[in-house]
Parts: sequence; structure tokens; C-alpha cells
Amino acid sequence: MKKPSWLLPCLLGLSAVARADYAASWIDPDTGHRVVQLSREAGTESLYFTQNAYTKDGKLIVSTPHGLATIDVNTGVIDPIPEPQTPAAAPAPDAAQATGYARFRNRARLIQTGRLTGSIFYQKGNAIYATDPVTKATKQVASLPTDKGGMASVATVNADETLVAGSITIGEERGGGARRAPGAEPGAANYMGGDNRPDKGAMMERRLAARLPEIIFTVNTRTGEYRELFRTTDWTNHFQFSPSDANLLMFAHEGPWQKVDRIWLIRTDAPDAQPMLVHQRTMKMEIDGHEFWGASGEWLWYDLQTPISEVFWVAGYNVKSGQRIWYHLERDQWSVHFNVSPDGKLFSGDGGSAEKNVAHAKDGKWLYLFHPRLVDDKATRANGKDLVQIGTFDYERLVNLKQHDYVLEPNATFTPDLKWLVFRSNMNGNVQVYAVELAKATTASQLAEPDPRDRRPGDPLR
Amino acid sequence: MKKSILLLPACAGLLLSSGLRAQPAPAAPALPREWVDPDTGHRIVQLSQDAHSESLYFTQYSFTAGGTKMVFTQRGGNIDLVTLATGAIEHVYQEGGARVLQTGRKTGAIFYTKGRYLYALDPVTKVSKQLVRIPDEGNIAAINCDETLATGTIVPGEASRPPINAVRAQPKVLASGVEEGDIPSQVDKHAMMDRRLAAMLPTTLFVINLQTGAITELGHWNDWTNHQQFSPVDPTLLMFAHEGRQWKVNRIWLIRADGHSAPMLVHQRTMRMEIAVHEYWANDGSRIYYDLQTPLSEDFWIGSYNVLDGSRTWYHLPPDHWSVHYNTSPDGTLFSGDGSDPVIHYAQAKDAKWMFLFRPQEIPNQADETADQQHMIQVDKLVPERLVNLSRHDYSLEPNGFFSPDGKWLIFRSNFRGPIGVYAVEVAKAAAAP
Repeated sequence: MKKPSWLLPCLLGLSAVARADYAASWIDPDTGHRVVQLSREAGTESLYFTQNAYTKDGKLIVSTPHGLATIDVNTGVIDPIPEPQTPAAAPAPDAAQATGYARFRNRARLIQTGRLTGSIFYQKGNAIYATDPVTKATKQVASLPTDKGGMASVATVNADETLVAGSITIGEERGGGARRAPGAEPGAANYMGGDNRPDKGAMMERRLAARLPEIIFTVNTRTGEYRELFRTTDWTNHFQFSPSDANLLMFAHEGPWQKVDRIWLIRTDAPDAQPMLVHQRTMKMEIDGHEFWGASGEWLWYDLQTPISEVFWVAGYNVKSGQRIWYHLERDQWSVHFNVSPDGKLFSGDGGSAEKNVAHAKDGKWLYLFHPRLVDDKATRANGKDLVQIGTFDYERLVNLKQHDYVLEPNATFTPDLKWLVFRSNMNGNVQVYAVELAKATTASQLAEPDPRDRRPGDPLR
Repeated sequence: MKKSILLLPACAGLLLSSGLRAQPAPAAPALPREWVDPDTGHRIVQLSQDAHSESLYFTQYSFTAGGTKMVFTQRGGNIDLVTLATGAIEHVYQEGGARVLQTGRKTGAIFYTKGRYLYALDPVTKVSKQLVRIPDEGNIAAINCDETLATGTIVPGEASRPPINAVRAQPKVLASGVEEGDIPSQVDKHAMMDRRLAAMLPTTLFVINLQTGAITELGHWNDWTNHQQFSPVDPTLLMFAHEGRQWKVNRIWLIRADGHSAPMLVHQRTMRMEIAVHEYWANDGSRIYYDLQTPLSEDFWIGSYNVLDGSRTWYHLPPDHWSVHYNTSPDGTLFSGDGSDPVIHYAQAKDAKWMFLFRPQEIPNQADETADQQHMIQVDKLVPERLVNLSRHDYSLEPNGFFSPDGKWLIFRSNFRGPIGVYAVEVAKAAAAP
């Protein structure tokens, strides 16, 4: 196994000189949208779709086999973020021998970029660090408790970067975060992605049934105050602070979705605040999950199926007004993860495969752009405010993913400038990060003339 | 290879050879009375002989003589009976003006109103008995299962009371060559419904004792009320509807018909533009079924509510199978749909002009049977099969399918051969060779 190193090979720096020099760039013949390959090193991944991945100047954070890097989506410039040398870093054992907990603890795990400063937050050992993406300066912002009977794991940073939140699982050897199957490492030559392992379902059943005690906590990055929000034996996960309300935290009860009431909100500034269930299921085999915040923090959205594999929605809950909107989708447009544009006007979906995903869509391997449309509401006194507002999605295909293996989940995110949808894919034989232009390349010249940017994957670099 | 067992064992021979083959029409060859739909492989039999014959609305119980005979109506308010096994027609009432409500589930009497009175017609003796006078400014809509009560509404100021089964005037033939049904223009009907709903006329729901004529008032309100249907097994359990455009009303209600009970809403809508409509009873009275759309024109179900234990099962329809009316077989295992027209109907279902058969397929519950789960809706999928090609049918007439008492046939009315007639299609597929 390669020694973990945060220094990217300097050949990655080659692209930093030319403007709009991508590893590859082409117009998808099936959609008419331009696709660019942003990363150059196989095994580079964009983040999970809920992790804020953009710096203040709109650069994208990606995870390479050797550490983090920023990519300017509009120019293709890749800039490695060196691993900070921190006093708190545990003395590295022989990395080749390190497995499980030891390796996990010694590895920096990215949390997200901060919404206020754009700093890159990550956890290493029992400390939380923030790195300035421009100056590369790193500071420790929080220490996590070590005396609670389990490893503290932070998953989210709040809107003004004053709080981090996460959980401690008592009696579990490892903390949360990225779990990789043996051999499924981004650096491995045959790595095609590690999201959908064959044993994932059984693992989730076991973990749910274990009912391990957990502590849900926050740590204040200014005062260092550690605060327990509550303790539970439900399996909690997917902590996401509101992007605008510094004291509103969303989290999930993890497990097979048909067995849990998944999505919860809790205030972190009210003593004795109780979690509030966001979606009450009414059907057997109704499921909801893959929740995410809208950029303004007013709405949260989630994948809703009433029931599983049968009726598909992107459901929204307005945390201010309590209003609900459900957008109805056809089977082929169901996606593993949906997302919403920074202005709240567009949605995206990363598709799904017939074999690996719950919708079993025959023609679902596409990256989608969705234009929401509310159903004509012939409003009357009987159509009260407390009723769910319904809409549908007009869909537009962005990228043909027929060559993509959904062992890797594309996890699309909109760029802050609303020009691109970023995703990860193994469609060209290894894992790389791509972006697709939202605007269609429709002009005759764009389609007829060879674009100087056009270079299919595998073509020699210039 | 399978021969029709209960219904029409010898019908083909009877109708084809003795009837029509012997006297071929000189102008055009007569249509067969029995054939196999080439697009579905299901046998269809024409039950009515005269043009302008109609089977009843899909909720009206139509069987008598132990389920061996079926009532249908003739133009002008006359009543015919067909013996299902032979196709023999009896003209049991020819005085005109009768509005048929249903047959009695206990005695098989044919209940109808004429003028201001309710009558029961004995299908054997063909004698009508006048039962009660209909209250002034009121109507009567249904008879309970032991034939002791009738129900209706009294609405002072309501100009006309369109009955659920209209007495048809002269037939009108459309440009397509088929006879027009009751619903010539959705626009007119919708405007009428909006006006009537907005009128908020004071309404009294009542039952009337058929022995004594005593009236018991069940409730007073300003909601437009109709589609009363008594339980097939419980003589005092009554379902009724708040009528109106369906997204404007909480439609389906149950009430104990004892004069001191409050109505219970059967389906609480949770979405804007969600609708619940075209409700009907299971044959054994255990469940209420209804057309559920979450929301209108988008996601289609047959909803059901168990009146005995409160449990709910929703049956999900595949796209493009929405039907104007659904029904359920007497044993509760099969569903039917009478299709829809993409232009006339909101569902805009493509290629849905068919009579459909639906088989429920359970979606297995992989969750633990916790206390929470017991209150959750069970969901099944419906797997469709086409029974009759209705491409020539004009949906100004709603086919209104319902199952025969033995569950082997689905009866419907159609203008797909020109004049409106009554037909039955065999639920089982026909043998390969005729």
C-alpha cells in the first residue's frame, strides 16, 4: 500500500498554466451538453452530495488518492492542499501495517468547507482543523472529548462556523465517516468506487439491531464548550447544520429506510430541545432519506417513496413555515441523490441503475437536470394551507451514464456560479471528477465545428 | 377448451344459429352476439337484444333470482331481466318512467321510483308494490340490505334532482356512428357542479322506514350530498358522498343510520389536488374502495378502508390504466377498470380505452411489525390485463363494469358497436380455438 501523502505529484500542476485546459472535454452526443473531466489522477472523487464542497471563490474541493485539492471548474486548474503538519497528529505507525481504527484515526477526514469563510474543515484524531484554501494556513478549531467511552466523530460545521456537531458511539471501536471495504481504496488500480458494496445491506441491518448507545454533541469552536444534545440508542448519522441558521441541526436515524423514521431536526441553542420528526411515514414500506438542505436554509429536501420502488417524489419541508412541497418523478428519473441549485430554482439527479438501485429503472443511467413545476392548484377552501403542495419535474438529460457503474454514486452538486453540475464517475474506466455544463451547447457552430477544447478521454494531453 | 360454466354454457349456439344466422339482415351482415376480442383473447357476449339498453351504474346492485338474473334498463324507463346462463330476456316492466335504484339484496325485488313514490317490483310475478311516498323536495337513492330502509336527501330550493340513473330520451347518434351517452360535455357538467357546490343549499340526509313510512333524519348540513350506498351486510351502515369537484370536497363519509350518530370521514386528504372519488362497497361489506389520486392526474390508486378494523390497503395502478370506475370481484381477489379517454378525462391516460382486469400483487413488508407499522397503510401493486378493446367506445357513456355474482364475467355497457348495449366479458381467457 502506498504511503499516504498529501503532496500531489507535480505533474498535476501542469494544467495550472493553461486557461480552460481540461483533462478531457466533449459534447455528450445524447444530450448536447458539454462534459469536462476535471481531475487527472484516477481515484479522485468529488464529495458526498450534502458536503459543502466550494470555497468562497467558487473552487471545488476534491479528494485525490493522495489528499485534498481544489479545482477551478471554469479553468480546470488543480491546486493541491498539502496535509497540515499538526502537533496533534498521532505518531504515524507503519502505514503499510495500519488497518482499521489505527488507520482511520491517523487519516485526516474532510468534513466540509465552511459557509462563512470557505475554510476546509476536517477531523484528524480528536481534533478539528480548518485550512484556508488560499493561504493553506491551518489552525486547530476544536478538541473532541476522549473520555466518553467511544471516539467522537464530527460530521458538520454550522453556518457561522462556531459549532461542530457529531456523535460518539459508545462501545464501537471506530468512529463514523468513510468506511472502505478491503481493497476498495481510491489508490487501487481496479478501484471503481466504494459506495454500493454487496454487504452494505447486511451491515446496516446488523448495526441498526445492535442499538449501540450514542451521544449527540456539539463543540463550540470559540469557547471549546462540549455540549451533549441528547443520548440515544437509535443509530444516528448524516448530521447537517442548516446553511443559514447557526443553531438548527438536521440528522438522520440510519438503517434500512423502511425500518426507521429517518429525518429529524433539533435546535442546538435551546436547553432540553427535543428532536422533531420531519416526515411521518403512513404506509408500510414507505421510505424517506438522502435529505439535504436548500442553499438558503429555508427548505430541506429528501427522496420520498410511497412505497419503496413504486411511487417517487422529491419532498420538501419549509423549516420556517411548515409548508410542504412534493415533486413527483417517474421511475426512470428517480436518482440515488437529488440536489438543488443555489438559487433554489433547479434540481439535479444522479440517476440509478436497474440492478444496483431501488427504483429498478430500465433507462435511469443519466445525470439529470430538473425544472420543477407546481401542479395547477385549483385552490378552494378545501385546499387548505396544511395540505401538501404537489409539483412535477420536467427533466432534461445532461450526461449519458450508461458506461457508469453505480458501485460509485455520482453525487452531483451545483457550482455556486450555477453554470455546472459536478459529479464523480467511473464511466471511462476509473474514478474521476467531471462537470457538465447546464446550458446546452446548442448553437450550430458549437455542434458543427470541432471545439478546440474537445478531447475525448484517453486522447493525449496537449 | 374451457367452456363457460355458469354463464351462457350454450349461448353461442343459441344466439348465433337460431337467432341471427337464420335471418341475416339484407343490408348489412348482422354482428355476432358472441365473439372473442382479437386484441385480448377474451370472450365477449352481448346480453341485451334491443338497442338503447343499459346496465346500471357500477354501484347499483343489479342481480336477482339468487344471482342468476340481472336487471338492466330500456329507453323510456322500462326494465328488462336477462338470465345470465341462457341470454333469455324478460320484459318485466313496460309502463315507462321508472328510475331503477337497485335490486334488493334479500328478496331480489327491483326497487324503482316513479313520480313521488318508491316501488318494489317482484321479478317473478312482475307485480309492482307501492312502498312509500318520497318526501317533498326530497329524493330516494338506495335501499338497505334487509330492505327495511331507504335513504335520500331533502333539499329545499334545489330545482332539479338528477337521478343517478336517468330516464333516457331519444337517442342521439354521434358523428362516429355511436349512440351518445349521458355525459356529452365535461365542461357543462363541471360548470353545473361548481354552481351546485357553491349554492350551499341546506340539506337533510334521512332514512325512511319501508314498513311504516317513518322518517329518521341523520343530519343537516349545507354540503352537497349524494351517492348514498348502504352496506351490503349491515342494515344501518350508510356511506354517502359530499359531491362537487373532488379537490374541493372531503368526499367519502360513513354514518350509522340511527338518527343520533355523527358522520365519519373515510379518507382524509393530505395534498392539494388530492382526490378520492367513485367509492363502492366490497361485496361482503368489509371494505370501502375508491379511486384515489395523489394528486389528480398524477398518481393513481384504488384506496380501501376496512370498516371493521380501520385498516387501509392502497392498490397502486400502473401508468395509463386509470379508469373512470373500478370494481372488485365478489370474492375480493380481482379488480376491474372501465378505462378512460385521453381527451375527455383528466388522467389523460394514453391507450387506456380498454376494459381492464387487475390482479393485486403484495409489496412485501420488510420492516418489523412494530406498533407503528400496524397503523400504516398496506400497499399492493395492480398487475393489469386487457379484457376488451374499447377504441370505438365513446366515453360520453361510462362503461361502469361490475362482476357477475360467480365472479366469472365482467358486465359493462358500451356504444362501441353503435347503439348502447349491455355486454359481458369473460374473466378467463377464451380457449384458443372457437
